[in-house]
Amino acid sequence: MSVEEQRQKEAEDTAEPLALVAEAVFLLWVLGALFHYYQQMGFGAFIMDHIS
Amino acid sequence: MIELLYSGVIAVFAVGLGRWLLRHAGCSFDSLAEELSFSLGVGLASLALGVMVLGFCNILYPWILYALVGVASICGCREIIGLIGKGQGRFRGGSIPWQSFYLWLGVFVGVGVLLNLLRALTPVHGAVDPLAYHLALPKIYLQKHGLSFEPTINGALYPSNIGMLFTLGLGLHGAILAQLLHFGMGVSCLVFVGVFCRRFFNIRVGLWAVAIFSSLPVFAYFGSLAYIDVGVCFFQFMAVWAIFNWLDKPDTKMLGLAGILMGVALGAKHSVIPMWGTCALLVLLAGVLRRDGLRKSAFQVLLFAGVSLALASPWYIRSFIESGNPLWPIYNHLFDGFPHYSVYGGGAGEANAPEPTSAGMLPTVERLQELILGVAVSLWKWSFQPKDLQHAIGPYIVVLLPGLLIYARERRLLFLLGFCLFNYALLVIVIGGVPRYSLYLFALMSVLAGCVAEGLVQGRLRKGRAVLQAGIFVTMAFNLVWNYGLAEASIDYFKQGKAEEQFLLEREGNYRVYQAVNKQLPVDSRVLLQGIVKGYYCDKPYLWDHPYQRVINYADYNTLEKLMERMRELGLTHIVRMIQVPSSRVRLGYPQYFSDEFHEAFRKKYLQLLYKDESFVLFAIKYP
Repeated sequence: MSVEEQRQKEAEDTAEPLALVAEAVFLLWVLGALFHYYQQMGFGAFIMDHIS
Repeated sequence: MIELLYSGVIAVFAVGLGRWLLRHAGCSFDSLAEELSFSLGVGLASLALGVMVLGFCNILYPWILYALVGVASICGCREIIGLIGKGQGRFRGGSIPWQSFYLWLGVFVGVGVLLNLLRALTPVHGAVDPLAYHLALPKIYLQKHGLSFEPTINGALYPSNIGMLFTLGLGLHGAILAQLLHFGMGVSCLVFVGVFCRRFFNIRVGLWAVAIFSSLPVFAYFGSLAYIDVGVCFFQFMAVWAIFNWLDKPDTKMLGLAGILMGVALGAKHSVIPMWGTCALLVLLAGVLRRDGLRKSAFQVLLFAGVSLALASPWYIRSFIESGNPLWPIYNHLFDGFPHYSVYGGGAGEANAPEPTSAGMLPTVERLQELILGVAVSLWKWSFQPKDLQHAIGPYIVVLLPGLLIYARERRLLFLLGFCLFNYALLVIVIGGVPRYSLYLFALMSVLAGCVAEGLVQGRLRKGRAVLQAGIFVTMAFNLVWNYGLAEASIDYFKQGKAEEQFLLEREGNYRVYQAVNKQLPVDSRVLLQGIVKGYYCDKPYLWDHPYQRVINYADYNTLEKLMERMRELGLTHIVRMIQVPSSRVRLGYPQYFSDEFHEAFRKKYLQLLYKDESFVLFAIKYP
């Protein structure tokens, strides 16, 4: 495990649960909003057209 | 493609000239990258101001423009050699592993820039504003060798520093070079954002910010065309950057530099005025908070505001002398300037709507509610429901900004957030809520979004990092698909090796009728454009028959004889007319000429058909 990964793990272990939850919720928001945006832009249909 | 060489040479000489000026002024910078950035900014500003002076002196000839670049090369030659020496050995840093996410962010930005470059190298076509005035006015200035006033053309008296750079490009090698200069300023903005972040945050935030800013549809689309907005962003961003440098490390010379760059921006577009006020206020506040004392604080504000006003003033004085209104045609009813329908500040409704009185400028309760709602929802709308490309800011800023609630701990970040929020409110309330007019703000917001993205990646959720990076990776790929779609016509143009003329015949609707005008009409012809405003490809002098102009107002010339007399007074000899004026333009106040009784009667009595295609006709006016 690299020093950076070790630092990350320590930070994660000692993180306050509330902050962790906030980050997790924020990450979900980011991914959901990006999905919504590109779906709305027609990329969903674009991909489906190219797959089928 | 020779335009690439031209623009590269102009950029190198601009850097040399800028560095020469900055060294003589005694300015110092944090890093070589910062020095290069400011050198380019000052160099291009000097070239723009140089062309402006030539224009005011009525000596706008191509050979003099070459001489101007020659002077820049003489001043800057030794500086460039010095910079090369200084830069040697600095770029031998360790290689970046190919698995690095940041490397791939850079690759996405690079490919996007290349696709946009292809668009910038394509003959100017399609978009209205460049062909109607951003390039059309510089072409007229070059034809007349000076800054003439064209009262029927929108923007004829707008401050025009970016237009001066376009004049330089047109004079040296044509419209593609002008377009490429604008594109180059856009690429420079990306570099500036990265270097700015490296100074105030870190390089990883910079890479995020560059990727986010370059993916903004409004930036990607307009940056490759000869609009002026990315050029305005170039100078605005540099001015803000210089002010932030001064706030970070008080140095009067840096404040003076901020004033110079702000002045150039102020001399490029009216929409910079509110931001200029914000920055002057910021300088005052900084003086007060630092307890600099009244005299020093006042001096600092005067230095910043005075230098910027002095540099921008020639444009506003010109406007006042020509029209009686320094902001013509904005707020024309307040200044009682040369007649023109006031586009902004006078209501943007129907062309024949009454202009408001100064008493009517006080906002009503409904208007206030509307503005508050506008501030609350505009950012969201520009992301998820943009009206058009000039409002489209893409998803990243809105998606990432809420993360500041978690990650904004640093004072710098909070300060930048406050600055952005204040200027965002100004954009919505004062500047009409069009993101294209304030691109520098979105460059700064990209920095904020970059800080959040980096915070999330370096945060506590180890597994979240991979998910986020994968999500960004996929969306960046989608952005490239969109960029490719925009560039498809340009890719075809280069793949098929078409001649410029052929490409324009296929792509630019009015090109054929202007060919007839340029080839068939006598040298002393003067053309009236009816139903169209894109006059760039017309080599003969022309007027717009636009509902906003008051040179030929059909309400005043309401009989055939009066109209004929007016046309004689204006020296008009021919008319280029759009056969079917689109309904959007008819709503604006254009006549539907061929179904309008008055215009039909005039046509039958006084006009002779010379040329016709499926969209346009060319008439000769038969004077009795």
